[in-house]
Amino acid sequence: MASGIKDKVAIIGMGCTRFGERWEASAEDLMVEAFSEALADAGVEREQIDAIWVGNALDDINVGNSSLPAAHALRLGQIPVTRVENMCATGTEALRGATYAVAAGAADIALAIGVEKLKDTGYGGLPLKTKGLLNDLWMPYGSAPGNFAQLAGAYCAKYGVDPADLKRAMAHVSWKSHQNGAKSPKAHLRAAIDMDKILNAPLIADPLGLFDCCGVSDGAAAAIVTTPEIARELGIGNPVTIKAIQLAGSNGSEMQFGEWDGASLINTQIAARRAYAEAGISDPRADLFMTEVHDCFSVTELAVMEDLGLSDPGRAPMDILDGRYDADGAIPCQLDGGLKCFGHPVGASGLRMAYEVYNQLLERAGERQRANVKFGLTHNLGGAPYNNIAAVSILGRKD
Amino acid sequence: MGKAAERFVVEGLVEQTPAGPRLIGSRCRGCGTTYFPQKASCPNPACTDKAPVAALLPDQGTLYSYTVQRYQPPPLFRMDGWEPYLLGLVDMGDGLQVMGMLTGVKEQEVRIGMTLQLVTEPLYCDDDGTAVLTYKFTPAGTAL
Ligand SMILES: [Zn+2]
Repeated sequence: MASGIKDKVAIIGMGCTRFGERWEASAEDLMVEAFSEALADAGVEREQIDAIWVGNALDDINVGNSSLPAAHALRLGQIPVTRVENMCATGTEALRGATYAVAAGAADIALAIGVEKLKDTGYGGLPLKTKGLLNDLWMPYGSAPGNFAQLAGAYCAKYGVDPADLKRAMAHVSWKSHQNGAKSPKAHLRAAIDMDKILNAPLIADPLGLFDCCGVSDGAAAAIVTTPEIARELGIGNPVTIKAIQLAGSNGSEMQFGEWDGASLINTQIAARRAYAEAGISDPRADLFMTEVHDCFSVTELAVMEDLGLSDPGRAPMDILDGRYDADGAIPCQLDGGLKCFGHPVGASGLRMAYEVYNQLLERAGERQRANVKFGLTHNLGGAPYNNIAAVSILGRKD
Repeated sequence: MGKAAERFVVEGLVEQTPAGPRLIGSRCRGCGTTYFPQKASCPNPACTDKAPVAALLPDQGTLYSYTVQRYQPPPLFRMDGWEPYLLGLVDMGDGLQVMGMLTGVKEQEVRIGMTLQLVTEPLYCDDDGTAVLTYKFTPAGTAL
């Protein structure tokens, strides 16, 4: 394996807008808001940014194509600007680009920024981007909830779990995230929700009810990265560093030439394994202090707890109901409320997750602060259970 | 079948045989993998002879998982008289899974592991009056 990027790149500033129905703000406004916070946090001037990666997945209406909208909005000089798109892994993909530029020595200071403004695209879920036959066939019939909901049936069948027990575990996932989101000033949905209300909500795609599904939001988030040496010169002696960023993408094996149980997310397993190796983490259950995972749906988070190796196969429902992933549990998940409460402005989500880990590492998470967070993990999943891109990153302090 | 006023939602999906409809997939002559929909090249990294040829899939499969799609998906989805429908992941053998709508069965009667038969049904009527068909799965033994 390549030597990897562990500790080669430091995050010296981050910013994140309030997520939600941002009717009053353009995509440019959102980018400026996140960027301004990140600049102030890093204590650098915009002229010091050598290159930027902007992540935007679906929103050609408000953001537009290419990286030029970001270059204009952020009033950058004629520096290299790049737009990246990798479905729901887009935000982490932007961070990966900026990180690699710094690790390669191509940039001293680079910016990753993700933005999406979905509330006024005219549709309640995610707008559909067709790519021909495959989507014509499957995606229109399935929809995101329809695709992910089928994890539940396959999971129950594989492990002999009573669907009512799975439904309770799924409800606990959402209950826990709403508890946390209520303490997140930048979250879209900031209300604690009763278990009964979650369990009895209208069904969207069985067994997923309304509260098993994440919201759709507007938002932006940004990270400024540099080398640990430059961070030190800037007066940041023990910066947050990137321990790992790994991606894994489907090649068709799930539904065709591989062995897939329909109840797990193979690329998440692969990306996590690579990220643990890159970060030098041998026992994620002992070494990870928190996770921010892709809870597009409650059942996704449940499956991901196993795919990240945090719960034994078949044990995630019990671990969830035991409170293992609650804010005061052994390995809290979604301390900020997750996609459940922030919603999912696709290009921004990966960086929003990193923002929470970053603030927890720097002990700046306010009411949500956990003691002694040493490592945190972010996870994105773009696509459907049977065909997806998984991104896993791990952040910690340099020393 | 064969009437001019019918077509499938996408070309190259379904072949109407005398014994009923069959999905048109691809089978790789190199590694034996079966694909649906058809593939021009085999993506299996372990395969050295990437040569898929068109192949009709079995007309039956086994239900692997399912849900009820309770809200209308966005365009390109189109369906006349939309109402919530059952959607299933169907194991077609040889490691191939196909997602499709279920028909002729109530939600309470659906069981993971049940044998399903491929059928075709109209999805919507096009602007020029053409009935647009798609494939669906129905419990084996109940197909017309
Ligand atoms: Zn092959």
